[in-house]
Amino acid sequence: MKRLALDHTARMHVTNAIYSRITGRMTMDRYDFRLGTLDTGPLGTIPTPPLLRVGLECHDPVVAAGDEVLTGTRIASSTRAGTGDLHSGVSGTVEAVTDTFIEIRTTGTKTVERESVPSDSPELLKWLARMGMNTASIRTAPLLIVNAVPPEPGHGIFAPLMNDHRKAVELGLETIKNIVQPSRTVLAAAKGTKVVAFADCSVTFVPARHPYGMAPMVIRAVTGEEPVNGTPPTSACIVTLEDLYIAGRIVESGRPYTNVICQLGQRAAMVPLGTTAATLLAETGTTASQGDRIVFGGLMTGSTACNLEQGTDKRTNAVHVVPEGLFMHSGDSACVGCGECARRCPSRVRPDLLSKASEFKLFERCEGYNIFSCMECGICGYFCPTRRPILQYIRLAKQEITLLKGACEIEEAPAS
Amino acid sequence: MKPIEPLLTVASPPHVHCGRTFKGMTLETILALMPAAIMAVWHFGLPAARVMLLSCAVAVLTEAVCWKAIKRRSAVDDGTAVLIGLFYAFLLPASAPWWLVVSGAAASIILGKMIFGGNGGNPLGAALVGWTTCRISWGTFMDPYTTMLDSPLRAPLHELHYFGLQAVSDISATNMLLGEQIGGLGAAQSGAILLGGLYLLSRRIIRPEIPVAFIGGIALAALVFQLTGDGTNASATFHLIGGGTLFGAFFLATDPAPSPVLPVPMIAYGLMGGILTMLIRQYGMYPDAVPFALLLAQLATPLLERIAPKPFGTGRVKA
Ligand code: SF4
Ligand code: SF4
Repeated sequence: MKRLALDHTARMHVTNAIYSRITGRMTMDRYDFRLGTLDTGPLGTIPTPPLLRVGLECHDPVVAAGDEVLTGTRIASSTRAGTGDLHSGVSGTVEAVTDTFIEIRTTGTKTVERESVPSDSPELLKWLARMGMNTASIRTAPLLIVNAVPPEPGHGIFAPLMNDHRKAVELGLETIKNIVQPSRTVLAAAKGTKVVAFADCSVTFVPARHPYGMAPMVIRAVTGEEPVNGTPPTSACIVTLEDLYIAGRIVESGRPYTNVICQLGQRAAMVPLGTTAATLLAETGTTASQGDRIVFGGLMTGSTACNLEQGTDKRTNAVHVVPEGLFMHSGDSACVGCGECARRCPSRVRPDLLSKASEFKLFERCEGYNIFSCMECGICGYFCPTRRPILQYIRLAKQEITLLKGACEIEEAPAS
Repeated sequence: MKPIEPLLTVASPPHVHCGRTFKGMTLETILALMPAAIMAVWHFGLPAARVMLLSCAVAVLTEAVCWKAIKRRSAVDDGTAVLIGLFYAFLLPASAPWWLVVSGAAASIILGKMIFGGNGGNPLGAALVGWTTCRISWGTFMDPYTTMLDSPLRAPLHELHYFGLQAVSDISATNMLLGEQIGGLGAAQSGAILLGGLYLLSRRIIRPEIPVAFIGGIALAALVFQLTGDGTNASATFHLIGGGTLFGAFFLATDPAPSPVLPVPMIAYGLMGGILTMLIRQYGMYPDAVPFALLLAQLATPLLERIAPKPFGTGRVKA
């Protein structure tokens, strides 16, 4: 039973990561790279969390400690075009405002007033960003791609959106189409998954395996064009199914969208933005102990939380606990040149050379190796037998190069 | 400030791993060499065991001392020192004197591996470097044929080289596969080496590209020589199971650091190694020639690596 898909009986708290019960270690064939195998059932909710900690990425706070906020009150405005503003997901009191986060304690249940939806499209786009949506990827294009391929293994929130929240998703599609003005719309889905296409929309199936759900791979599958990470494709605009849902919800309610859809164990739930790791772990009935990793996002590309108080951000589509000792630590081990990484890299770059160059601060050389082609899928690190933190080296180099070039902002992982 | 409780691990993705370790791969490679080592002792007796053990011990000791000397955290426990020691021993005649074993094993580790900062930095196979150093310095002691004249066993490649096809026509393939031939003490155990190589392939520790291309290169060149020659050239099979050809194909050529990593360069590298081996056997002065041919192919690795696909989004557009 090498490719046993969903056996969570051994350790419930790591979804999709399957344990070998004999050694307690993840072994070669036990992590399932297939996409869309998880059935989360309908989208649920969690009880209102007592405390939110909303992280500030490129936002200026517009509230101060002691302020009263309602659900949907703007608490920070974005300083970067295309990144949505932040709003409180609960009604309560601002407890603290720091450089990196805003903390809100829940005291009530009041919600902000409804706003009217602007009718012309440039205004509509800005309004969506003000209402909390990340709109960086949305612009006029002849082709609109709706990415309904799960971004990575163990991600199962698209199916409930597709089936149970049809109305919001269709409204969102209409809204986005209004802005993008496409002559053609394509829904991209994983092979073998059930899709119900929209009106005026063709369907492209992509292989149901990581990394085929990542935005650059989907764009290639649909258009035949390979976009370099970070630069928008010339002929297409790509949004996820979740983006449609968010736009639909904002237009439908006339209120900011303050949730993230987050996978908790085997179910998916709407979670207010900024819900802390502690709350979410309590919700899934797990705990994290010394040395564990709490992963926000998928196991292949997600980031780790620094502490239990860290709140979810807009990219947190799942929460996992990876127990200490599950697999060996990464460290500064040398590359032995086995080439496992290079042979598996979907971006056809050389993770071994890139990580070595970055390790020795030869960042210009990384550029020569086309570092920006890397789509940060995490596959190289998965296969590296010496467990080098390859992606960390690559991100460091990308950041250093960007800084060297005089851009003052730090590259953010693409939100898709 | 209150301490963070619990202290979580913060790391970059991915947060899952295939579970394979480099140490594990090295140990499995050593395991794959065991049938050949046993066969070597079977044929050559205690002297073979003595050479292998001494070589491994010296390799491990040398590496440990090197790590101490450069004041770095020792990585001697990853098993590669044993592997290099074994590789070197496999290329030696069972009759090798102790000082040859010691100096070659030490040279393999120091010149082949440690001056490049340890594993992965070496542009050439470590054992090959040690072997070449000794072969050039003390040629007569290194040559299995001249040192083992009193052995009843035959030396197919040498006899072919010096006396021609007629002289080796009575050596059967079975004998060569069973390792009943003079050559590197482990390298010449063709059948056992083949077994080990297939094990590595099935465990996906090595990829098929290099060994297949290497064997293909040998076979191709042998065929060309046979067809164009005057009937004095041996068959591809003879060249493949004679001497250390298969050891080169499965073990020496697939050394991770000095070999290319992408499929097309891997095939080019394998072919190059195989064809060069045959060229040296045919026109050069070395009857076996695998180590030298592989060194040359490894020197070409950086060049071969340039045959690479264009990275994502840098020009290749699917029609
Ligand atoms: S994360 Fe690694 S495997 Fe994935 S695209 Fe980047 S370099 Fe390639
Ligand atoms: S997988 Fe790791 S050890 Fe192997 S070449 Fe890549 S970085 Fe080096």
